[in-house]
Amino acid sequence: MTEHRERNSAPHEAALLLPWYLNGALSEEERRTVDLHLAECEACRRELGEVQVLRGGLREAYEHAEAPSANLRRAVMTRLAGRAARATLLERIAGSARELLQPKWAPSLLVLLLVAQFGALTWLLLPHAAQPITRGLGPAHLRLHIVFRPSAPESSVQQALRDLGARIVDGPDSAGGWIIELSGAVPAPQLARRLRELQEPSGNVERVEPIP
Amino acid sequence: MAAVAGGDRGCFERLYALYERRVLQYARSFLRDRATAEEVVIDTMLSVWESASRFQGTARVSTWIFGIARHKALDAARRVARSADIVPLDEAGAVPAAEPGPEVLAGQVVTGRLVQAALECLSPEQREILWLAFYEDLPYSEIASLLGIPVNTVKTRVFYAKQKLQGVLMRPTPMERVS
Repeated sequence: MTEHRERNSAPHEAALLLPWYLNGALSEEERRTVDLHLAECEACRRELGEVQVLRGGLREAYEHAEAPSANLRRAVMTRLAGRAARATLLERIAGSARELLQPKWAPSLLVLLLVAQFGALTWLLLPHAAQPITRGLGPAHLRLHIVFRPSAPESSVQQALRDLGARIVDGPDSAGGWIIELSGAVPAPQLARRLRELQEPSGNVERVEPIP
Repeated sequence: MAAVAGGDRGCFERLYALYERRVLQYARSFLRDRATAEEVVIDTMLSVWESASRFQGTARVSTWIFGIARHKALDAARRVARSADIVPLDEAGAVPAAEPGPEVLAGQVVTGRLVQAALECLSPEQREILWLAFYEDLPYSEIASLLGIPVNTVKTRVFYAKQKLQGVLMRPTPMERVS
């Protein structure tokens, strides 16, 4: 054992560098410093001898340590091949995606998008053939100018209007007539018969004529 | 490394041949189980293949590869230590293996077999640093960078690991104690 351990003191700086002094990993300056120290320190010279022997023993131990299994290399290369295959597949997918987004495709893609957008807008804005055109006014109604007899009671007038499916839209005018509008709910033959009845002498209507 | 980074399988196979045994030995500093250490070799070398382009060339290739191996081995050691039926690594270092015989070191040959047995009495940390300094011949600055410790700590850790190994090698065998 060296004096470092016998005295239980801190090792010399040179002693700490001896492993690298032996393997040639010291700088020129460090090597010179160790050389100078070894020339005057017997403990460190002894330490150097010990380190040298130990180094030889360690290297022999490591050289003769168990070898890797015969199939270790094969295991690494098999896994490597598997990963390489996966990587190739991913690379191919990425390549296709890049190809699709190449600048040469971009203008065509843009034009296609614009055309599609224009088509969609046109379809939304233009009237569709299948749908009926509607206006703000409803279906045309038949209007009549009707003059009730002055003796006709109000309830009879109202009943007559209900029978005709009509409502008063204007009147009375200077002749005492009213303009009524027929809803069209009463079928035409029934309407014609009812109008005739109302104009009979016993009826409540003096006269009735359509408004063109 | 540039060829490996470029996906040259042939170059990788040559690199693998250079490092297979060394990475296994390094992993064995931390792991007593050979199969687990071999898994570390596989994981390490696959990482080398996949991340070769990130090797910047500021350190030796060996330092870079051992850096990867160290992370893998420490992860594996932690997994092993979590298993209840396996002796944790830190304790494993304290369990004496076969007792080596006495050796008067200066001027004598210390056989590899004896050293191998003596190494089992060291902690994983001590086995690791002796491997890096005495077998891989890494400069202390690169060991410091690999282990993430100051260079002075590298120097003293190597010194005391070596002292401990010498101490184990000088223990008398049971037969000598009887006589």
